[in-house]
Amino acid sequence: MRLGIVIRYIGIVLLVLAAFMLMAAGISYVNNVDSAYSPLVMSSLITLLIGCFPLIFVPKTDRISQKEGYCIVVGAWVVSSVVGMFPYLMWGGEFTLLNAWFESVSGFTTTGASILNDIEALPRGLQFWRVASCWIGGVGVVMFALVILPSIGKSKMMLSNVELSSLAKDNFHYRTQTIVRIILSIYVGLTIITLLTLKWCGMNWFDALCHAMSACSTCGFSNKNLSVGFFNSPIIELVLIVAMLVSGMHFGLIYATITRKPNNIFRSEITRCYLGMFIVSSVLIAISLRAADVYPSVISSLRHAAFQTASLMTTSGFATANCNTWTPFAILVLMFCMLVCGCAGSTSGGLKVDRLVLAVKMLRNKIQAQQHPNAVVRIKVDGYTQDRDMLNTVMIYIVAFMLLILIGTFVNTLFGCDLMTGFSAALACASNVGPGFGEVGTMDNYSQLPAVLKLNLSIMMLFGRLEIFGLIQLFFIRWWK
Amino acid sequence: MKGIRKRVTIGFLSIVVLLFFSGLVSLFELNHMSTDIESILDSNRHSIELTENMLDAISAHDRAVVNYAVFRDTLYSDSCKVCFAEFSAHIDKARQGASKSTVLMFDSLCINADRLHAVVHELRTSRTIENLILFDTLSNGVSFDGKGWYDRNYVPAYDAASNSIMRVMSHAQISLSPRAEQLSRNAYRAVTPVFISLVVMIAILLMFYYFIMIYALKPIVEMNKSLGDWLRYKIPFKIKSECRDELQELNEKIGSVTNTSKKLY
Repeated sequence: MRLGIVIRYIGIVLLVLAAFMLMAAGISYVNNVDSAYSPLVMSSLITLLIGCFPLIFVPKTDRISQKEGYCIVVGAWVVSSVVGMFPYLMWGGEFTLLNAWFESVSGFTTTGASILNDIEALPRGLQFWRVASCWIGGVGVVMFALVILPSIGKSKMMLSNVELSSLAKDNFHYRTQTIVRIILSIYVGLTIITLLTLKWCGMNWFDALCHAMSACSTCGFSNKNLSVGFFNSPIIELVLIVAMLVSGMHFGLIYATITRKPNNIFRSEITRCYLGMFIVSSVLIAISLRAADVYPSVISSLRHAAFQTASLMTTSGFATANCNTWTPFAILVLMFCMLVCGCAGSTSGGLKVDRLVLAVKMLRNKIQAQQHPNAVVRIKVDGYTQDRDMLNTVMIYIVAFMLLILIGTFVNTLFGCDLMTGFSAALACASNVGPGFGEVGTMDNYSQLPAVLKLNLSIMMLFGRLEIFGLIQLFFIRWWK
Repeated sequence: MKGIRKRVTIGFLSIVVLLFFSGLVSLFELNHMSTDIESILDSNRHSIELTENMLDAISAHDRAVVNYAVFRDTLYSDSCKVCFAEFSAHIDKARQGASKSTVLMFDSLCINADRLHAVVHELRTSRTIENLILFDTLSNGVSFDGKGWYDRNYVPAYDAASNSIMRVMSHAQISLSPRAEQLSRNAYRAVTPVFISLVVMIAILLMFYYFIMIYALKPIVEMNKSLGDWLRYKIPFKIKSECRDELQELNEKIGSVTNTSKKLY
């Protein structure tokens, strides 16, 4: 493996981060040169320098191996998280070394879990950097570099193959370069539409920008201590529900719908299942909340239920209500939504609806096979037969994901968390949702957790974002040779 | 400047730039911190000075009142007036530079100072002391107990006014604490860029070492070995190089020399 090549491509990703840091410094400058200005400028310069350095020495190459591709993608996520904590560390405040790492990883992996007790105390430049990190992470740090830098050439295919899971590449019938452009165009377009709609709904430009970027990346970082609950506006909540739900759909299908292709959102079995799950979950939770008299009317029950379901199901993690006060049934339904999450090929994390659908079909297939031992039953999704390798990978991933949550819960409870907090924190971080239940509920944060748990949860976020196998490869020394 | 020389120069320049900027930011933050410390110390000194002046003035007023009311020394009648005017002037001066939150404290101090003034002013305008000295008793036959008046009327007003001064002072001191907190944050900010720069510089130096080893030294070693093999055993000189720099040129030139000499023999 050529380490120089790996470092060169990670350097390219860092250049993108440096540009965003500079943008955040610009916001800081416009805002009367607030206290985040010099930390952001300094971080941007340092990042630029680290990014440029390998470009000077390592010559350009057109071909990279799959192993190098893995290392570039995983390395880019880890190095981005390290570099992303520079502005936080330099600014100080509540950011200790571990808190800055946690916040940075949470941003880039679009988890949206925070250690901040007073978000509004952050200067605007730093608030923008916080949401910018999750916006970059939403589409994937390497994807940004793939689009912005055309000089990457043929290496694009290998990198996009590693960055996008095989499920995410379904529904795309284009060249790699076109796929990457489609993804970014949809992402940027969606963010702009959300921004304008939120502004129209009464938010100021800065709040609208932060919430649009955060909703479209399904991160859930808000610049308000009370999250979306601060605005207490049904129309804003409705806009964010739509934005989050659309961001949780396959971007290829969104593009197909816009360009009036036959394989669009309305015909997709996965999207129908995803939306159906949202509607059923919202209604069930609303009924449960109304029956328990948590909210005074059916409308308010439905409003909060729909928002929290959309928020947790799409792995955003915005909040309008304290879910700890909800009924056990409502919490259980939300936990199921947190586990399954959005569709493959979107910005959301978790198991993905695609895998759930395939798992259910495999179960049905197994029962049919037992009833009719000689029958040959194929598993199809949207008319396409799924090959055995793909189905095996899906099952292995589901088992690995459950194991990850189990190990995370073990570690959390070992270091003093109660079962609800430990399990929900592990689930929320592995699925990149953000808020959990118990001590890490929708209206709480992760600041009170011990340092070792913050480290454990931040590693879980990376595992969840890189869909486990990407990161796990790096732990096998033999693989490096 | 091109090729290896350019790379090495840029490599060293990067480290210099990093050091320069981290130094610059630290200098800026330290300068900022020094200004903040000076400002906090000034505010502190100013607040103590004003409080001292107010306490001195109220104390002088107290002495004048004791001489006038208890010891019946009419010469102190005007002294009471002058001392109070001085006290009021100090309050006004202190109020001018007060922050918004301290203004409320000054309002309370002004009310208490007015009460103090009213108590003494009533005694002075009724000319009770002067009448006592002239006629020994008051016209209505009631005797005047100066010490009793002082204890009953003056002391409570005096205590309220001096407590208000202490409250103003303590509030002014408390209001300095957020600024001190900000200062400690600035101190953190002054140190962190240097710390981060050092870590990054170590990373860059390691990269620099690695790149020099791989892209500068390794080709030279390989060329040397291959040239030695050609001279000794006539094994063809062939080095694969990814770089397009002087080493690549040297590689090509050695290659062409070996080819030419092969043709000659």
